[in-house]
Amino acid sequence: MAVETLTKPPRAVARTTQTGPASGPRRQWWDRRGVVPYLLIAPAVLFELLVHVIPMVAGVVMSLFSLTLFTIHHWSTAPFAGFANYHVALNFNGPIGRALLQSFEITVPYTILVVGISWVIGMVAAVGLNSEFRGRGWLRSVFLLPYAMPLYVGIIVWSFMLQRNNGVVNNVLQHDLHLLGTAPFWLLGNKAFWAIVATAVWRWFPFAFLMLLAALQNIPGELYEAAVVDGAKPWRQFRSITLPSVRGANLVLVLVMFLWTFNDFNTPYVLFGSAPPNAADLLSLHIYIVSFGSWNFGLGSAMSVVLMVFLFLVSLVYLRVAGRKGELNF
Amino acid sequence: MKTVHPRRARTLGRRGVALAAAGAAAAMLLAACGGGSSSSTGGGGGSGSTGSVKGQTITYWASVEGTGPAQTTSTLTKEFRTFTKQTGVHVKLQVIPWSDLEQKILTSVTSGSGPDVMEIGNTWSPSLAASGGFVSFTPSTFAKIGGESKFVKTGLEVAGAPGKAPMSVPVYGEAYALVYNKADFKAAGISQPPKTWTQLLADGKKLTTHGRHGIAIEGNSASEAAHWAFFLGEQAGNPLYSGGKWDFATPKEATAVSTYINMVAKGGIASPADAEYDSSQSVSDFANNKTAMLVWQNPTETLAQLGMKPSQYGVTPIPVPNPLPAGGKAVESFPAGINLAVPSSTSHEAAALKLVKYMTSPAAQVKINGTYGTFPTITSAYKAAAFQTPDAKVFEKIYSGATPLPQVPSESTMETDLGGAINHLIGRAASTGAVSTSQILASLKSAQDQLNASQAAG
Repeated sequence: MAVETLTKPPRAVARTTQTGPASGPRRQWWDRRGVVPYLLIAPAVLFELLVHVIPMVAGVVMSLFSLTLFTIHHWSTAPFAGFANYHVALNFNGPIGRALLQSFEITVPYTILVVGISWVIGMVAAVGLNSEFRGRGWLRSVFLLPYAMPLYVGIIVWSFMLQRNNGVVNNVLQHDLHLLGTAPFWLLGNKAFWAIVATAVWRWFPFAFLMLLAALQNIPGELYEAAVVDGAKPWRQFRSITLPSVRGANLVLVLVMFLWTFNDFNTPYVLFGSAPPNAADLLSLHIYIVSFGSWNFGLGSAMSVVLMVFLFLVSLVYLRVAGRKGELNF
Repeated sequence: MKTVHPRRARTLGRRGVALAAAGAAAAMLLAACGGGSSSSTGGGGGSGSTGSVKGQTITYWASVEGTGPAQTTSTLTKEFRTFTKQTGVHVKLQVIPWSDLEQKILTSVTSGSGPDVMEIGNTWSPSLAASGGFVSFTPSTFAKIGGESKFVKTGLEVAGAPGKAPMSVPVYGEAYALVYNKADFKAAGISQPPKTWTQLLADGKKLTTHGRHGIAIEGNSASEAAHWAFFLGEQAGNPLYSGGKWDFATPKEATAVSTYINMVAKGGIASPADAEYDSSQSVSDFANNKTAMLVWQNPTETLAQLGMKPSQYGVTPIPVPNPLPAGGKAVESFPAGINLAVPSSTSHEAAALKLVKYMTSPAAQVKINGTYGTFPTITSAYKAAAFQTPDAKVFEKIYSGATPLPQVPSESTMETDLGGAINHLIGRAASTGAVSTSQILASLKSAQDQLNASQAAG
């Protein structure tokens, strides 16, 4: 008997026992070709839906309803408002629309300055710390500290440093360096804009530094050696070798930093709370105050949707322009 | 002997991985959707109105009072232990920072799930009443907590929408007063505290000397600024709200509020640094004698914690113009304080009302308010020895004669918009010099337009 079993061909055994996935008719669904990858990314997709997509859709739906203090408790029966919230938000002759426009007019230069200055500092640091020297590792860690530090801790420390009487900034500028006659207010009035730009640059430049450093590591050293042989000075090397080589990384970095900075809520909220000075009334905080200050969530959602559409259009134009130049493949 | 197919192990591995991935996805989905056991009926009251409440557990949200979260926790834990002994109801206490409390209440109203009893800022009561998410204190509900007449009347004026059954009851009472450093006044030759704003400014000038200022203000606090705008406006004959809309953008109000705004200007009686104060730094300054006067709500407990003895300072009502301008009222404070509310989503309404009754009973009122430095909201508790001191009697008189802030749903938005506008003006006064009445009027107009537009949009 054992001899008979051993001499039977494997295929016959397989047909009788029906165990092989490739050969039996009763293949399980998870065994099908290509199903496993989808199962593996299913948790990530689920979280993306739960955390990003569904709240976004809910926000858009909320913007079409009159969801205020009076209706929030029975929100499922809130009256349909159509585009009324959008009319209020985009009526720049009315007080609410005008305030939103003013907030936009502050957020745009804030974003340009923060992204620009962070990029310059990040690039200088990345170029400087790309070549080997003693203490390079330690310096790289120090430069990454602002990014590694818990966000709120860092911003709270800045709010202490920027205090008029007791802050270290005024102490250094006025008492140590004698650059100022009287101690200014950094957290009130027009100077609040520069205070928040400085805080945001401190927060973001390490991210730019990290991304650019990674991109610089991919540039072959021979290019620089050949340039030196040809007599190229450092600035020429930077313009002709470094910048073009990191162009791809640069374009993604600038887009990501622009979106994150434009949407920044944490920095103004921790620095100024719910009543920021006009000069630092950034869009995300402004929309938060409209929603949670006046309990008008329909209007706040409409403003959020307008912001989202604006950023989407900017991203679209940017990607098309960058794509046309052949630098990005999306 | 069975033959093992050579590919069985690989098949099991792929299947196992696939099953594990599907299982992980399902587990995460269930975890994300978990916690759906709390009731969210929204409209009606919860069950538990009949039958014994013994053995039930209810949740209580407390604001931070007294010297901070530690004292709040220990004080209430002791009281709740006594309550549990008396009624058999267990209480889960959550102490919530003031900055987060309104948000959490809002979330609870929206989601229909939250605590069974919560402390609220009493000025939020008209806004919360408009949401419809709380149990109304009708006569029958009042009967369950010991009756309406036991409360100080002014406290009940700030407990809900005007003309309707309150949605909360007062539990800790507070009122504004002027506290002054007795030694500084004596040294400056001032025999009694100022009774009018003119006297306060004059006294403040005399007291601003040797690195000390006449008064400290919380210049970057929107709610403080809104409260000052209220007192000064009522005294000047310009209520903030009239004719169904906010009406504070007037020359009268601008002139009245300039008294407060320009205190920090050059030559003023408050330090320019006060323009940045928004977390009780002015109280610390008073305790450290960096300033000789302070306008604050019930600072006695905080000052004691900061090392100041009651004998070192005097308490008096805030100044009032004399004579009062046409239409002006001698408003010295609004009835400030904390109320207790029961969300309508609770499923332990009877037990929750028992706790409200306990917290507004004489023993608890005397004990808790005595610890926190606040004042009782029931008349019988004032007979206790702790509230017979001269300072306590001053506060009691101010509290029982206080005038409420406008009891409209957009009141809390007003504190942000109007208060914020005044903060900006204080910042300008501190950095560039005294602000003119026309500049103040322009700012008030902008805040008023915004506020009325929000009210219309809402």
